[in-house]
Amino acid sequence: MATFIDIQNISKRFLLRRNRSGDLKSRFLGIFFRERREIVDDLWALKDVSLDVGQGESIGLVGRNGSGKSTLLRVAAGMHRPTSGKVLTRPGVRITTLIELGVGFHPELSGQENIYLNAAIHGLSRRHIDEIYRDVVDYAELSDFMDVPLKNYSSGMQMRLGFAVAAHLDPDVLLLDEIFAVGDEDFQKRCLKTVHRFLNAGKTILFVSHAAASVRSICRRVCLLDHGHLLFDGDVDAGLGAYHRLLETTAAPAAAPEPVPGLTAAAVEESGLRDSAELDRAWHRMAAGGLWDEVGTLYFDFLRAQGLQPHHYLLDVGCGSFRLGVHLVPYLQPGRYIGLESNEDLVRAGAELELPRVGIEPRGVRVVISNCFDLAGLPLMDFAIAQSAFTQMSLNGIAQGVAMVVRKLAPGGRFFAAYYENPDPAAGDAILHPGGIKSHPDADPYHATFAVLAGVCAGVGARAERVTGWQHPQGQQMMVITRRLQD
Amino acid sequence: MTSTPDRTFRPRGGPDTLVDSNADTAGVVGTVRAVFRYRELLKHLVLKDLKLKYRGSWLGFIWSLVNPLMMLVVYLVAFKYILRVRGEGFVFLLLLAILAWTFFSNSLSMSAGGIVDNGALIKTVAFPRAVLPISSVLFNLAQYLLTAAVFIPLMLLLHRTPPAAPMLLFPVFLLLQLAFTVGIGLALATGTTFFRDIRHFLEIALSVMFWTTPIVYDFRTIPAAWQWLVLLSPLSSFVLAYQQIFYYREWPGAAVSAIAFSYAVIALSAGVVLFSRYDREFSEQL
Repeated sequence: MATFIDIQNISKRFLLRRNRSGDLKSRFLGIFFRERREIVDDLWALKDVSLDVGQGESIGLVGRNGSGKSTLLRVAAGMHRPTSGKVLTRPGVRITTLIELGVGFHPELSGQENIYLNAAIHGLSRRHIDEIYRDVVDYAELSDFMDVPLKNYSSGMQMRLGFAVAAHLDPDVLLLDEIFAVGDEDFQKRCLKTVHRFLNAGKTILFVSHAAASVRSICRRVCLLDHGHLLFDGDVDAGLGAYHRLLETTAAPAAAPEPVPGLTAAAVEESGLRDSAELDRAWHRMAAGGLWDEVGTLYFDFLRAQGLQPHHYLLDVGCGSFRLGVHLVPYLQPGRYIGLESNEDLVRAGAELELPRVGIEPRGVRVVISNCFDLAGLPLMDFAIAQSAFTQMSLNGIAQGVAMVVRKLAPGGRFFAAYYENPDPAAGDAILHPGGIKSHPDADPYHATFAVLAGVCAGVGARAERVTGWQHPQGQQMMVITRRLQD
Repeated sequence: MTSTPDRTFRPRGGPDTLVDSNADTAGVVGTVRAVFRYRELLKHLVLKDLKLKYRGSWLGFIWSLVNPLMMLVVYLVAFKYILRVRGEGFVFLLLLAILAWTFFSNSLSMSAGGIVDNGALIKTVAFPRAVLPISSVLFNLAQYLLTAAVFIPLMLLLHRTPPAAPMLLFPVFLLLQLAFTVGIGLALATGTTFFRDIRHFLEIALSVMFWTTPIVYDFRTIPAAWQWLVLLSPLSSFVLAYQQIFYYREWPGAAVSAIAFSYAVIALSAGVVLFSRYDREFSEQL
């Protein structure tokens, strides 16, 4: 079997420009105001994808919205230049891309003129179009309308005409985006029949689809893409199975996480610290800025007011010594609380001193020790909370954190984050907050304007909004970050 | 939730038989070859524009003749009867220049939007993008030929000018102007995709160029010191060539021919190189 298209280690980066107007005025303002500056961000639509398409193959490309399927199709078609990697094609093999039906149809032109124009756009020669013209008209069942302008066609007639042309293009390789979805059941049946006829003639097809039934009926091989990675390439049943498992984890996270090894059991008796007032002077509580119990309860009540239920998954970003964990672990169902912390000593102190004090077995608490938001292998989260992680992080760190956390949010999931707000973008000095805490624009604890933080979030595909009605004893503000859905 | 990629071994036809469709060497040659392969599309795009332009209008194609005629009348009244710029054969020279200028400026205005105005097409079908700006130029060439076919014989008749050998060079210079216009059109289409300002700049540039081209004045009447400057203006050499061929019935001068030829070659090669370098990025910019 000869290879027709050989896709080698393709990556594709799109540059997303926020605040884009690109004109001189905004560029000028951008010199003075950080939030007016154009932010250019990377979106990796494909990461190191390799695939070869052999003669006579029928490959289904499946994956969630935004997983990179259509980008892969366009790269294979040569419509996008890959950022890295190669697309090799066999010379002389005619490749046709069908992403939409009736491309280039003009309402003022007659049916006949539109057939010729549309077929020519797909690269057919004059002679070839003359040859298929009669069949196209018969197939569309529109022979009485060929001299009527397209604007007088019903939408169903236009679709029939578009499909009739597509069905007669007769390429060697068809790169097919999901164009069936638009029609009624009868139309879809006709489409499937035509595709089967095409395959029976030994032709090759690469088919992007969400519909398992269509894939099963057309394809002999399935490739599953997620977040631009090729997760699976092989047998149809196994591929669709993997795809469904992926959809299920998105819809209802069910996989039970295992406890992270490395969290040692507590030796509470030896510590001798039982009293909360005494503990307040302990280093791990001081590290959290004091007011341990008060702030922990405040966050816990806040989360429940925001709709946190025991069956939800929650990620505690910067969980420290479990100031919030001591409330959440008993409240949530087992395994649904997951802590994230970069300072292992804080976690150890929490596991040894705080968790046992409220009767929690530290072994059952899942904590990820990471300073780069490595959340691989975790289930999707309904809630994430950063108590004061943002006050200890530079904007770069926040950008990375938001990007990683937002990816782990289940649909509708929310990421709450407290921060010190700088109300006056023009002032560059330290700000004194209630409780005597001083924040800085360039040092820990950090402050920033909401607009800047929102811009950072937007830069990584997230949307930030202020949360009102939040009262923090030390003047921290609260915002909620959600994933911005890609279309 | 994820399976490791399960890639079964597939025998390949030797890798030497596959070609990298993105290789830089595929650029210029590939573009030229692809446009030739899509000549049927080129034809249909030009026909579409021609049909749509006057479809439904009462005078139809006659409008193509009325437009240059009206321009001619306006400039004639302004320069001959108001400003009293008297010159031999003013109308004939003016007409040759106006036709060539209209072909040039309309081609550029249209082809500058050749990519950005066809976003839907570019995002859904893989075809050589160069077809779009080239079809804009060819559409205007068709308009030019249709009007020239009426007006030039008419003028020759009115001036009782017998055919002369230099007139045989007309197709050559028209071809050079076509190459020149296609080259600039390709460059403008590429540029406008990345910088939309170019369209606005083009409008200004065209109105300046109108006056630096010998259209409403006779090249032979301007001071010798300025003649070089006017001659170097983009369209002047072509306009002068047409005037020499048809009105003066003489062979185009060496300077005029050299400038026309080099402008055409430079513009066309620069346009094709620039376009082939960036055409894969158009679909992301729209």
